[in-house]
Amino acid sequence: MLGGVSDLLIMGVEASTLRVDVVVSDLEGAVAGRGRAGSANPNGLPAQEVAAHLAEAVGQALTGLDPLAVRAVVLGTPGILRFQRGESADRLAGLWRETGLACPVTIVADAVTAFAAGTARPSGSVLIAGAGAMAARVEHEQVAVRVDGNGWLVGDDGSGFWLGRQAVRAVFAALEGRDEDTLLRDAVLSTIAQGEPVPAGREECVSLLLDAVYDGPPVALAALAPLVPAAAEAGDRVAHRIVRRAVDLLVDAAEPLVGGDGAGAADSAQAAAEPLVLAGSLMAADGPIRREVRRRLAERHGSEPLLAAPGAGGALWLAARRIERGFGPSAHRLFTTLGSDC
Amino acid sequence: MSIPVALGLDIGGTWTRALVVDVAAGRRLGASRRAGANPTTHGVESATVHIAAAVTDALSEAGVSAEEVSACVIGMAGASKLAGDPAAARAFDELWRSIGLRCPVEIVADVTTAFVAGTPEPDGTILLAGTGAIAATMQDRRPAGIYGGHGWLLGDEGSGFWIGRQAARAVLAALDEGAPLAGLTAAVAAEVVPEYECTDTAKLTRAAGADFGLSEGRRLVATVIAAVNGRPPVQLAALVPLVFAAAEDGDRDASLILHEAADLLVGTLGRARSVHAAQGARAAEDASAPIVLAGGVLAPGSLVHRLVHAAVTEAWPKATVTAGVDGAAAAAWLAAHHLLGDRPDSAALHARLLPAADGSEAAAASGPPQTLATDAAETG
Repeated sequence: MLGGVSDLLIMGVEASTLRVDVVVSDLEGAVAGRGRAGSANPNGLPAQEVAAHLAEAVGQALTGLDPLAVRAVVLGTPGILRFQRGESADRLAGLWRETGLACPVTIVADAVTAFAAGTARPSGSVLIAGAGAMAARVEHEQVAVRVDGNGWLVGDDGSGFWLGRQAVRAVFAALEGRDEDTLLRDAVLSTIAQGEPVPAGREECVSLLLDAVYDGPPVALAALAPLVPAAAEAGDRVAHRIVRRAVDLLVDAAEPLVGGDGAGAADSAQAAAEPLVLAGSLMAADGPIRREVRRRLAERHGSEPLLAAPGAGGALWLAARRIERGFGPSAHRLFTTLGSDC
Repeated sequence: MSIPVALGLDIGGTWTRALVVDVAAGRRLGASRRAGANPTTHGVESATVHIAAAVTDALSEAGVSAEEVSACVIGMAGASKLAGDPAAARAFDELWRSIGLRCPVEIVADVTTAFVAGTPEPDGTILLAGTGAIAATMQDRRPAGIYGGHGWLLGDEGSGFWIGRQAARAVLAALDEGAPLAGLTAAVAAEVVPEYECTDTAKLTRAAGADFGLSEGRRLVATVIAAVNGRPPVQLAALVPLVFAAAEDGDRDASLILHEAADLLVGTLGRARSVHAAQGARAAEDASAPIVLAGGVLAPGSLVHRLVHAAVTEAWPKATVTAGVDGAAAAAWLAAHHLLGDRPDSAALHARLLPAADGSEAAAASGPPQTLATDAAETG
């Protein structure tokens, strides 16, 4: 066995649209450092800024540590192509040396870390429903099949962005008397007003919404997503309809990968034997969306879907596996949980 | 004082059109077209440059000086927003002065010029579908109620943006299914992915379809997504002509998209129409109040126009349904109308300047050629 195992560190990084999370631990599962910084998705941000945010978060996590003690780094990102190809790849490759790391850095798709955050098994499927939405079949740290995840402009059906957009549209419909009134009206308007009083007039409310939405980045609509399941739980029929539609869209994305249609796994028996992981903020929170998605996919899949820890935990687990191939389910639980306290 | 001259301007997101008319003779004296100048999307400064150029061109073709213009009306998306912006209002006042206009300049909503382009009647309903989509009930040629709109991110169902977005989604769906690109999907992929440098759609079809493995197909998906996200979202509306062309060639995806767009547009119009009818006192006349269809998506002869026209004449059989095509002529007529009032020669002038508005399909189809998915309301 290696001498002085505790000197040996691993690092998991989740570079997502909302932020980058870094966790460093030893192989016993003791956390040695954490870091966090702003968005690190190179699909939506210049490589320069992605590199700066990554360097900041990695630097924080390595504070007081010897970077050479880190023996494996795994990073999950939705922008994997930009880490691998073109000018952005060169810029991002240089980043690791600047942080003092000397070990190999493995870049994987965020679907891979999301999947790994829910299971220790090498192959299966994952449904990620956060600000965006996608389903993927993962085989040995590669995305073999992918459904949606096409971004807010032309895809991400049923995502947090989609929910937020539907919420605002429902408020317009209520304000204009096109649809029944909804709890979402007050919920959305007071969220958008950010503590200021909500105007009384219909026209003023419409202007407030239009200005707020068009002045910000479109993905900011995802921040309104939690209001929809909350209103649905409170018995709101409009919110309930939106939730039902979101569930349909998310299940539609995942179904080809877990069901018998055969687009993903070789056959349905194989698909059913493999794990299905649910990840992303919409799946992390208990509520009608997660409950329904779980119930319907369990029916389809034949066994209960697994809930993923945050992606950084999945990345850390994959890094741990690079050092110690023999780690099993209990180590998986330990390392993936470390991502949660980010 | 020589002949009374009226100036009309139609300012859209893609084009700015100006028309100078001889009010007495009902003659077109000069016309011009310049780049789009919607101040809410292009900024006031850039807008004023294009507007000044369009006006100067039209006046010079007409052989009329700016001082000789007796009345001017401008139709513009976002007119009401502009009215609430003192800095923009000052910039426009300064613009009129620098051009040399001495007459009053009235700025009206784009739905007003679109409506007037289709009918001489003061009351009715307008459905305007260009980059955006909006319906309005009109009373005395002013929008009394606006339906739809809300812009590309939150609304505008059936608009040019909406159609373009569906077209891009069709490409991604085809690639996800591993289906070879053909017809609409091949045309759209070739349009949005310059990296592939395939103006030859057959070549792209070969490249992206049959001979591509899964990873190459997925690579094209990523490239398409990056391409559409790399430009302003409303530019998806530029895909509309491809969808129209593919639908005419019998492409099923394109046809489905346009049928759905037509349904959504008729739905938006229906909301306006039902509210209008419910406004009580005028309900009896409202059954026959005209309906005007306008904007690049509803260009006369297009599939969407044909579908919407058929649905509208079935749903509101007593209404006259016309096409609003020439917004600049409508603006010029509104300006002339200020000079003439509600006299018979005002109606005659409308018939001369806007022959498409007489309700006959032949006249509508022979209107000036329109750029697709262009000039309509972005947010109203």
